Amino acid sequence: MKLLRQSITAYLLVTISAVILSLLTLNAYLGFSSSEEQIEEVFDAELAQMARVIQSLMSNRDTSHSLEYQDEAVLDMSFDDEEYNQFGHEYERKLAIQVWNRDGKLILANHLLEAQAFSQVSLGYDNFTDGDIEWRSFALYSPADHITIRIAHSESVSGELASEISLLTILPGLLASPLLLLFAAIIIRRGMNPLHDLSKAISHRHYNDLTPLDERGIPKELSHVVAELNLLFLRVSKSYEREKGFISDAAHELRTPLAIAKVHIQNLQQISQEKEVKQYAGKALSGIERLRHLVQQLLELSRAEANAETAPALRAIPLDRLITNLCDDIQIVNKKQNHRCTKRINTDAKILMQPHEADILFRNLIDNAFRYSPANSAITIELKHDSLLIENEGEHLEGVNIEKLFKPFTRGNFQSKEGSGLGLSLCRVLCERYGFKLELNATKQGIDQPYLVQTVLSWKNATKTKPHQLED
Amino acid sequence: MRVLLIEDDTLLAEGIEVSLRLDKLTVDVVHNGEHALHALLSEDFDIAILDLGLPKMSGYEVLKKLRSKGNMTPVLILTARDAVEDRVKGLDFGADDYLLKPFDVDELKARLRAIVRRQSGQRTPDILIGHLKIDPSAHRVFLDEVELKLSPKEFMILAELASHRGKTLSKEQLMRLVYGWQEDLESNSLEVHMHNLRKKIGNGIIHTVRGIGYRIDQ
Repeated sequence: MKLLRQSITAYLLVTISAVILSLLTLNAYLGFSSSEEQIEEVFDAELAQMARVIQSLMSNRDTSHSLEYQDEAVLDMSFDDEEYNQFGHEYERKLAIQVWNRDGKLILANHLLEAQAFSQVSLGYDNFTDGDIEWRSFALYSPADHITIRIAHSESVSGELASEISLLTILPGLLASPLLLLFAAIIIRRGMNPLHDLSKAISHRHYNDLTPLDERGIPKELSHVVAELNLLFLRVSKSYEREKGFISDAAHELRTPLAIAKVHIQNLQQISQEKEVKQYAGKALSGIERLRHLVQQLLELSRAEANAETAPALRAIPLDRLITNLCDDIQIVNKKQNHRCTKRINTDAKILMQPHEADILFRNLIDNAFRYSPANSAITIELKHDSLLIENEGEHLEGVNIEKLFKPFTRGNFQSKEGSGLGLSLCRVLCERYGFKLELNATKQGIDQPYLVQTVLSWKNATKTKPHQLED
Repeated sequence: MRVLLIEDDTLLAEGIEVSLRLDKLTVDVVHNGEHALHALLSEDFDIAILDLGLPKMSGYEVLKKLRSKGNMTPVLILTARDAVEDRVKGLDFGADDYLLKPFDVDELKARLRAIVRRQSGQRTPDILIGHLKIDPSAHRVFLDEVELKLSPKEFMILAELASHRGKTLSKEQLMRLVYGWQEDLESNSLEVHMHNLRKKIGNGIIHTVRGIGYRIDQ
């Protein structure tokens, strides 16, 4: 039943099959009943007719005279098997004839029935059992001759004939039913094709794809569904665009007030001679820098998500240069932390990416290592042919679910750090876009020891980059 | 250096103006695209700082019309739009540089100096005229390695003439470049500053072109 509720095809196939088979069964039953009734009518008429014929035949005989030699004079109508097989009919053995005289003595019989007490014979039509066989009989009393005639036939004859007639009636239907069911299955399947196509078209879509479905060639029954779906896509698309636009506009709009605050604070810092004013202005500028970074990351994330399904304009980017430059830039910004950075770049590997996005991805990964490493700790950056490994020490990772760090605005226990909490989310979106694999592992190195954080970016099985998308 | 600041946000414009004035730059401010185009076509500016989202006429339109009329005043675009296509569009329309909000005022000033330097064909940050060395970023002037004490206006006059070397600037042009629109001047104030300046740097550097204006030779 669950399957029937889940599949229209199964529902139609099962119900149509059930209806066809039920109709065939009903047809067989009605055919059998009707045939049996008709045959019984014919047989009843024949029984009566035969009784009358025997009555007329017996009317010229002196039945009283026969009393003297009754034992020998009983007319024996039995035939041997040979006669049956050669000239007779098998049903002759199922037709019994009995004639009694006025004294109740049997004067004519074909011995198919056991000798029965004359008193048990009832006139007219009757059903009785003789041994294991059921009989239908017609008994007639001839007042002129004072004889009683009974003609009986086995009920099995009418049953067999009725069955044969019914079978002949329903046989073509029964033989054709598998073919009928097969055709029904094919027709249902073909009829369901537009629904399958629609389902395929929807299920194969990326969640970001909100373009309308093609309404050409859609059957009338589905056209309303497709129209409604397209309307829904349009509404979702508009709402998505509004949301995207809002984030993008908000990020842009935030930049001007940030610029205002920054310019005025910098002016204050320049004009003031007070050491404390300069100091607090510096702190205000740090806050503005954090806000700027957050706005920038928000915008990049919004843009990366919006571009998730569009083919990037790929270029082969030399990673040795990119990573060296990024490391140098980031190291300058984090100079006060005095990290010991070791770069192992012994390959001229290139990566197929949109240059701006390559910069965002690698910058965020390297920046994270510097940003969240304790002061004076070691950072190792190793570039291989198809992967990048970053190892750094990490603090405040107790009880942190590493996977959650990929969620927006999650920084583990580093709430005081200046990160936006969007860097890894952004990296993951970009990795998904390009088919790269990004893993982050944190291993405790010992009691009271920091964690060893390993970030591995692999582009070995990048499937989404195709050579024809290369721009150079 | 005379700067036309085209920014519709008055609070931001005020901040940038103060910042540039602290650096001894002459700053004039307009708040919409039409005024910006009019100002750039009718007066001399060393550089324009152009916001893109302007009322009446967008920054792109201002830039496009300016270049179509053959005006090559250097333009630095200052905008909140950071998309690569926005930057490319701005530069393709004839902007000389692009700075994203929020910016560091020191970076803004350095970029302005670099653009003006490139425009005047000067390769080094310092301007050398004979034995005279001008350091525009530090506002310092040296004659034979000895630093001269110049007033802000004297420095501005010298810097303007030095960045337009070989070109004669009329008295009015020079006054606008040094004072902009906001200061009411007495007719002889420029001559007074010129007199004092010549006394400090010597007479052979700034030439008077009689009836026209002043010039520093190449």
